[in-house]
Amino acid sequence: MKRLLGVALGILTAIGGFVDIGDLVTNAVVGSRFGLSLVWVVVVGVVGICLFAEMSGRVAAVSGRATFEIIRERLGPRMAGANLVASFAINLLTLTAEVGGIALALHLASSVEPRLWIVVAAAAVWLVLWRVKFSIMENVAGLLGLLLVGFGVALFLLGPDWGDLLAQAASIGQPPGGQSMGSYWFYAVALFGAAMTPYEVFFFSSGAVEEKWTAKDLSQNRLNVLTGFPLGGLLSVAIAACAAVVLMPQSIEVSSLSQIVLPVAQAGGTLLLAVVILGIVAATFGAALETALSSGYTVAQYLGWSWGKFRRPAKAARFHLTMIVALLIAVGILMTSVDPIAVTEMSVVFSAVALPLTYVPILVVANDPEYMGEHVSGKVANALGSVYLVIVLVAALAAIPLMIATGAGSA
Amino acid sequence: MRPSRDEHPVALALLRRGSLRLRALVLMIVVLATASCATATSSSSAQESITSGLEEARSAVATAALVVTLLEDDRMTAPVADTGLLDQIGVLEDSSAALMTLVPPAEMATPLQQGMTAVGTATDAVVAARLWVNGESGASAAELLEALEGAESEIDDVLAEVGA
Repeated sequence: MKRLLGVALGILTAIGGFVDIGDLVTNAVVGSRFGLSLVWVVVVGVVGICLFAEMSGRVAAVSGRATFEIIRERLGPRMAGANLVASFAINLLTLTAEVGGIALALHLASSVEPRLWIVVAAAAVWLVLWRVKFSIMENVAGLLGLLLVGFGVALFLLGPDWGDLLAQAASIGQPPGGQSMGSYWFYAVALFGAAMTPYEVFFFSSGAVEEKWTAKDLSQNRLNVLTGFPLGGLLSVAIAACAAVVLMPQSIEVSSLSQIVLPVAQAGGTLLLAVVILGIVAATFGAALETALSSGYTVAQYLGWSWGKFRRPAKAARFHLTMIVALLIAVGILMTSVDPIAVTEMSVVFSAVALPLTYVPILVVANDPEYMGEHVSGKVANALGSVYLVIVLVAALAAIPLMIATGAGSA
Repeated sequence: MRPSRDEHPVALALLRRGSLRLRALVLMIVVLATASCATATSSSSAQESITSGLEEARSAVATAALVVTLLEDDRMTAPVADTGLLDQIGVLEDSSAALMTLVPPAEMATPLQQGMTAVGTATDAVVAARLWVNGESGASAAELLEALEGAESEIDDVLAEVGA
């Protein structure tokens, strides 16, 4: 019974922890502009993150080493150092977006100036990182993030024409009238980046070490990933569908968090609105914790410092200091009055650019019998892994040219 | 031991040639980038800029109308409505700045002027809605919605004239 509860909890937290500010914003923007014509990218992204997270969890459980320790070991200090700089920068951008997301959600609920909330949000993130146990932190944030299921409830209450939504979803590669093909592909890359953010893998693999997974935990790892992430992906689709049903017919283009919740208010009134805003706070807070931890994990693992929430802060001082510095930089960036939504849009695109840096080493190590013994990737995982290698490389190479050519999707 | 460059004159010449090509490429990129930053705008790009600014403004007005409707129907709280409208005032500000800083060819001057007027009308309507949300206006929700609808159709008229 205890094991069953553990499995259920793992799945629920994987669902609730799937959506972050990048998913929220990108899906709503895409839904309001392209309807469901890009929903196929969410499917591609979810399969990709399942594959990627399963591999990194398996590698961590079997070898007892987290992603960046392996990257350094496989690529050598110089190449891994370059990888670290790029990965840390993208992670920092994502952390900035998540802290900004918490502040925006609290601003939405209170109408109090978001810059006041930025400091409160960052302080709360630091306090939780400093004081709260890893498992409690992960489970509470993940479970509260489940409140985003309110988008799914809203979609049903709106009573859309399901046939029309299915027709939109089937129109792959055909943007609706008035939208350019360049912007369509730019947002395809952004959605892919939002679903497959590198920090999720740093967090997932380091979390496996934090929770002392072994080869015996592999089946639970697979179950969490293969059930939780696809259900989390459905939340992303629900966000896009709500925007497609309410905002797109009125030519409302999403540029702020306050617009994302309008369909929820229309469908379920103030109660459902309150549930969803709480869900947004929880989802962004959980993702801020994960990205802040990922900052510490990547640097500490590369430099060989002691790391982990399972150690007291005094025993992993440089790991904790890295997280504090990352949080302070994020606050500094947000205090310049930069629009957190714009930071989010940049972070998902650059996540796609940086993805091969972590994907390729994990793919290689998951196939290495020296590390993995009998747990090397099977034929199906390898075939899928190779297909995704091509997708990840194409998305990474196309992201910046598409961003320049379309003015970040504004053309 | 790794040979020095001096020991390979051919390699050195190739490197120099490569370096010259690289410099020429950098110079060309700088010239092109500078040229593209010139102030005057072509007719088609002015049309694109006006259309984009007006579409943003129309989106802001439609959002404001939805917010007012939801608050009037008790489906939204005042702080959420206030934040929603404040965000849209920001969008209108950006849209207005985009139009005001445009230097279009003569044939686009009139639509640009009309566009700026329409964005001004839209801003007034959204600001009035925010005053109402904060209990600082005597107007009714119906009057505000009428004003927002009027602002939206003014924007639509200019968009039609621009050929969007």
